Amino acid sequence: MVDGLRATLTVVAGASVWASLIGIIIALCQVSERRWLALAGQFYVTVFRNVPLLIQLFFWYFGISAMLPRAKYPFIYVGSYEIKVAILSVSLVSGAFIAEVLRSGIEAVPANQLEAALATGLSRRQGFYHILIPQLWPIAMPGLANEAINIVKNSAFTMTIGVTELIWQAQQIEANTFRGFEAMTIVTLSYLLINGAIFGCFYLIERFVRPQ
Amino acid sequence: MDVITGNLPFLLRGQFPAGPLGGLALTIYLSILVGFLSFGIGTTLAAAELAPFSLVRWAVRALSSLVRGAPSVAFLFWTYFLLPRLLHVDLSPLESASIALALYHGAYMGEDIRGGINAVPGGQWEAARASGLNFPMMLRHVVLPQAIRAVVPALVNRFVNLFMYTSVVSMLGVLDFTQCAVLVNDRDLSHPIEIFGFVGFVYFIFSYGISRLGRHLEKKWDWAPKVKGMQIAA
Repeated sequence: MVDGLRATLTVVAGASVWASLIGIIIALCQVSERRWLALAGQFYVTVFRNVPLLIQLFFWYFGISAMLPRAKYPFIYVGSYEIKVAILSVSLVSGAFIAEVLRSGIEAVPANQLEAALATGLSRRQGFYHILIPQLWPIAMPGLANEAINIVKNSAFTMTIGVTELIWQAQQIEANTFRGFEAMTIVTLSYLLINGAIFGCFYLIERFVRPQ
Repeated sequence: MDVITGNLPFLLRGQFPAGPLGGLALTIYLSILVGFLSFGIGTTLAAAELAPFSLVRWAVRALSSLVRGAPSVAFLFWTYFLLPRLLHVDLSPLESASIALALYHGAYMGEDIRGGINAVPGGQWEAARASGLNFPMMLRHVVLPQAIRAVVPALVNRFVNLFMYTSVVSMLGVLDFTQCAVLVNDRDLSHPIEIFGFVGFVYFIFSYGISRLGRHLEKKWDWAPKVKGMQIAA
């Protein structure tokens, strides 16, 4: 059970970091003035939001081992291949959702704020860091909290490719001891606890970033 | 491509004439069934939160956040393994999966529709009461039509999600589109990219279609009350 919790948290932590990175990059692409970058960002979000996570897990799980065989690229298979694929797929999906949250946040900041920043002589970069980003956080925070919780929930899907996370362990316990009821109760409680903790963190951050 | 064309009938309808319905046809059937069920559950939950008894409201809120806080997979296993044992009923995997998905998405839809009900101006309630409607009639004829139109974007997101996440039933061995693809892949072993690429593409077409339809409805019902500052959750 503790192993399951560790696997779940590994996937969640890994995916959170990568998904945030992907989300930020794609959101920046989407609001870019270069048309092809905006289109590429839009394309990424549309594709990854509209294909089920389960299919993406299978696609990468079987696809990577078919394209990059173990014999030629052994370094991919060092450690747990399943967990790497799990982190990859969950991050790709959640990255698309985070990008949407950030993009709508950026678009919710009034355009004249940035114009005013440029007019007072700040460079585009300064305007972005000092004017746009501080106003973006309060708007985007609730959406980001949602996405963080979704990452936890999505990590449960990774049992299909053999990541030994919480629900996988519960199923093993059910199969070995027929005490599925106890196992599932604890697993569900752990998920609620993890989500509760995330929610609490975001609540604190939100209070911290809210303009006085 | 041969692996797709060769297995196309199986992917599209499972073993249908010879056995139970499966493949893409089952996925679509399940989405429609779960869609209707969860919409009903969601509306009921949203209406229950208007109840005059705070105990009812509190219970509904607690249950709904409990359901929404757990992963759908956990919920699926609860209804599959434990519900039959608790209630002493026999459920096929397909039945318990439908129940689980309907309750899970119903809880989310309840939350969306509640947002919509809040967006309906108070004057509408008063006008409805003044014209002599009782509570169910007010809901049915005045409030819900406006509330649901107000949250079309959120509901469409939910339907897209519901369609995609019917794929979790493959974890119970139900032969839906995903599980058929897994079986074809297990039999074939050499074209995973083609198989899952194709399946992903088909899912994409459908969910993209649903969201376009939603955009169309949104334009058509432009007169509905707007929900301000609501998070459209995934």
